[in-house]
Amino acid sequence: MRRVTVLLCTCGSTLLEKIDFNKVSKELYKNPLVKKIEIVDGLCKANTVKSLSLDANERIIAAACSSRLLEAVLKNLSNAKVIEFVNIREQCAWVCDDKEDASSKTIRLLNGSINRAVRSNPPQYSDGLKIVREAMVIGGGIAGVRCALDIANAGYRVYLIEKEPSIGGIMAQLDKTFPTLDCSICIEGPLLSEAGRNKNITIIPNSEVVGVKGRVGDFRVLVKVNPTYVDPEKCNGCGECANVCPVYQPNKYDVDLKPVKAIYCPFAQAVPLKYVINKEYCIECGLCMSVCTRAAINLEDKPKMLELNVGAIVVAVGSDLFDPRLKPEYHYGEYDNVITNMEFERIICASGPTGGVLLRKDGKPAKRVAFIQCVGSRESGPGIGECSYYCCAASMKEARLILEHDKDAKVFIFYNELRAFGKGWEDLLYRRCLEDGIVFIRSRPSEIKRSPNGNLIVVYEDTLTGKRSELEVDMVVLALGFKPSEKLAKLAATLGVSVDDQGFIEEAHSKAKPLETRVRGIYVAGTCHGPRDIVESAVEGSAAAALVISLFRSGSVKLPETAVVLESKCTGCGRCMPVCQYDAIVRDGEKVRVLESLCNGCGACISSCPQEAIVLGDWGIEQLALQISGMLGD
Amino acid sequence: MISRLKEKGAGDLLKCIQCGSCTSSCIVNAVNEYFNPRRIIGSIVRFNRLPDQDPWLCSSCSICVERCPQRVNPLSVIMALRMIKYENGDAPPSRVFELIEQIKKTGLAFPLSNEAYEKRRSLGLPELEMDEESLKEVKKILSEAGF
Amino acid sequence: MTLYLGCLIRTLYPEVEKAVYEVLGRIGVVFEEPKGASCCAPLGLFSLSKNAWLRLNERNMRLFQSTVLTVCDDCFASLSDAFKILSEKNNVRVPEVKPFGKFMLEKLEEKGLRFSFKGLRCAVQHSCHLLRPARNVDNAENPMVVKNVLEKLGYIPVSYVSELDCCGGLVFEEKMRNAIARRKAEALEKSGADCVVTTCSHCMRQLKSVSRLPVLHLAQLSALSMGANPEEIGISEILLRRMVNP
Repeated sequence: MRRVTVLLCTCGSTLLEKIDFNKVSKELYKNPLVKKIEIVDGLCKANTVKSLSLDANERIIAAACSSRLLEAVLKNLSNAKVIEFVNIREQCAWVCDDKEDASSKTIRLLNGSINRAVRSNPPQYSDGLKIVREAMVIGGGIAGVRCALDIANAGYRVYLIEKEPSIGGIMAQLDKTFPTLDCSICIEGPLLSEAGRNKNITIIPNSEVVGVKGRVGDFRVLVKVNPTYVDPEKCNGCGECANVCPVYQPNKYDVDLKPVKAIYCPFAQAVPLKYVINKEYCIECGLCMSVCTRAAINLEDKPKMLELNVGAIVVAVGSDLFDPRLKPEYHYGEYDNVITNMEFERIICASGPTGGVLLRKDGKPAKRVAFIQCVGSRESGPGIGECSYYCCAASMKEARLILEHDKDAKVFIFYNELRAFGKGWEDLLYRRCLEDGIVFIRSRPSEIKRSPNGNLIVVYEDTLTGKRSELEVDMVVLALGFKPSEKLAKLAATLGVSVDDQGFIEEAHSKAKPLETRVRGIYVAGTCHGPRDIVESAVEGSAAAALVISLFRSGSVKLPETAVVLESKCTGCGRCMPVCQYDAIVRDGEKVRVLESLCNGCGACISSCPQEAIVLGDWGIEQLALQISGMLGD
Repeated sequence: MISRLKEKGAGDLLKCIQCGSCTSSCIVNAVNEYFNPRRIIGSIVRFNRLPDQDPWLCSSCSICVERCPQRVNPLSVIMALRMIKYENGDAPPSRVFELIEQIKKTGLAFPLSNEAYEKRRSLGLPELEMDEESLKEVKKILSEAGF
Repeated sequence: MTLYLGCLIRTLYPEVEKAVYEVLGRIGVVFEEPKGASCCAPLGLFSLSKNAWLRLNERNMRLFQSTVLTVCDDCFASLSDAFKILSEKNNVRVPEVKPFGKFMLEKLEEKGLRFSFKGLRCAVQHSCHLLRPARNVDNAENPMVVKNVLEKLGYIPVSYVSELDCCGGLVFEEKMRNAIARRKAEALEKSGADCVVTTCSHCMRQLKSVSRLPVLHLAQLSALSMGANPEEIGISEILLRRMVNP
């Protein structure tokens, strides 16, 4: 009889007060399948395992904490094979109300596993699965570009998928960055340019990921490339077409503040520097075609589908900003001169719609400016619950820029908590603001009113003095919080990754695996992961690249067991096929077959088969039935 | 104290970040700086003290409820304070009981003056009398509630 | 339809009650008015006993067989909220409560009614109890229901600063109540309006005590547009003279 040895771990004695180990041991000895029971203090400790002197033929049931840690340790330290890991900590002691409950549950769990062990062997892994050493980075903002560059410089090919006509993201739209007030595009531009020139990076603009199949090391990604009606191979970015185009359209890059032609180049430092047509505005007059010397324009352009085979995917798609129209008391869109911080960035930027002069809607310069912080952050709704991280620093930076442009201007910042903890934020930003005479008022204004002379009145209570006041200003800037991108939920579902309760992409573990997602081989970087600033986004980009490089440098991928269809039992009914979430079961003549490279070993197909024809190693119906009868005690 | 308030229907005060949106929206605060919803909640949450402000000054306009970013519902806290202060022995405005007394008498919160009675008659409006049975039911409900 | 007039209008403003009957009669709405209904026991008054509020309205609810038309917005809020809790607690169906403004807008749109231009500038005093907390009747930051009704009736709704401010009618301390009322009255006078229109009896009472402008219930202007006798429904000569087609 294949009897088992049970190792009961007290987890450094922490489980002693939750489980009555003596009682458990006594009960388990009644089970004839048990050869020996050892109660140990810490299975994770090398000494413990050595002192047990397990021999190579022993069949072990290890009852302890989650097998995530234990599996690796025990495998390296003992000759004996562990058939089963029973989690009596996270799934038992930590969730049971009292000791009796926990103890009787422990007994049941172990009896189940012992019973099952009669028909089980240690879990098998398929080893040596291939890795395609090419990566995909979805999103061409600072995080995505940094990531792509690092992977490319390590010698691997990267596909950089970007939904806009140019890479660059939000950083390309900013004027200066905090705390140093360096020009934003001047820093990012060279990186974009490098990415464009790097022979390992293939930038695919105007495209989005619409489907993914496969597994880590071997993903097949379906990318939809939207038509631009201009052939990028032929276009040399001369701009003659835009000169003659008769139609104007809102300019996304300038946050709709200054229109561009229907045929346009996103911005001066765009990579790739190509013109594209927005068909929604194009009237197909053909004037552009008549001046294009390279016959680059093709109004019949159609969307294209690409299937790319990559070994790793990094999600770096960024986030949107809160819609200020959800705070009607601030009258954004209704009152002139209530603007968002992005609009401010474009206005104050020399390349923007006013050439860098801070003008009100009526053309007069703005001399008194109020910033309102936390618009859409730290809320129970409609904005996100978290702090958006970047806005206190951004507003202080913007305040300093106002004074740089006009030293007689007066700036007021209405804050709730002033969060300025990055490198240089305290000194170069906050202290200098105080020195420059910027007024900080601890308050969240309740509304903005319009005065008869066209100015704005901010109604607030100064929470440090308790006084209610009204402040008349020329312009109000709303510091918008982050919100997950509209398309993020759909992309997450397509990739199979999870989102957190705010809607951002969720990491596998915030401390132990901060940039991996629950899908092996898919990583996350940048603001789609949560509110971040430029530095953090770039850091995450580099870190994700390191993970990808590390994956590529390993020999092959090792995966847990995959399902196998027993040909002798399969009748070809096909009931298992729709059950598989990974589309891993396909028809094979009159029967079905499991595609090993797509199977994730979840076991859903096993229960769907009326003939019990699918097995997953030793994890089949038979073993499950034994485990259940063991737990029920019959 | 917070659990006592919550029993009386107060919202989630602990979420308050003391931002001051409620106070700067409050119409009563506009004419009386001492009535400060943020400080009322702050009193309880920060100092564990029953606030001094008179909760009967609230106009129950609910603007604070609309504007609060954390959905704390300051109005519910003030209503709960009305009950707690009453239980502690603070007398509510006498007008409260006057109006309820009137409901016990005629089923309506206001008395019908002679002038109004005449006006109603001249306009051909129906008589304003509540039947015995109904009035008894109303009185019963009110006295059972302690009025 | 069940008509629920509430306490203040019946005891203090019979001309408004008359106006309501005129409107219902002329639009052709059949209604009943249960005599046994008591005061709606608004929470502003019944803060000390939510229980009494619920029980009195449970009693009222049993007398209401159809959709309840309220003429005062505080009644609307009190009945609506009480009925909602009762429907969940006792798992019963409860009648819908409709405030006067919404009722007028629906009826005017349904019957495609429009009236001759009167040229009277009306500033609307919005009842806090109608707008907040949101009960799917109107937009709290930009309420348009009463303004739309006024336009259809031939009047000109005007906007003004502090339009959304509360009238202070439920503040129990006299000096403060008056101070808030005066603040509102000043804003109304600066608006250039000929009169103030409201759908709440508390707002009416508050503003009547301090405003130099005539304060009218929407029912009064509705009845006037529909041809009712101005004297009976409380429209003064002075106001009539300000209109284009009285």
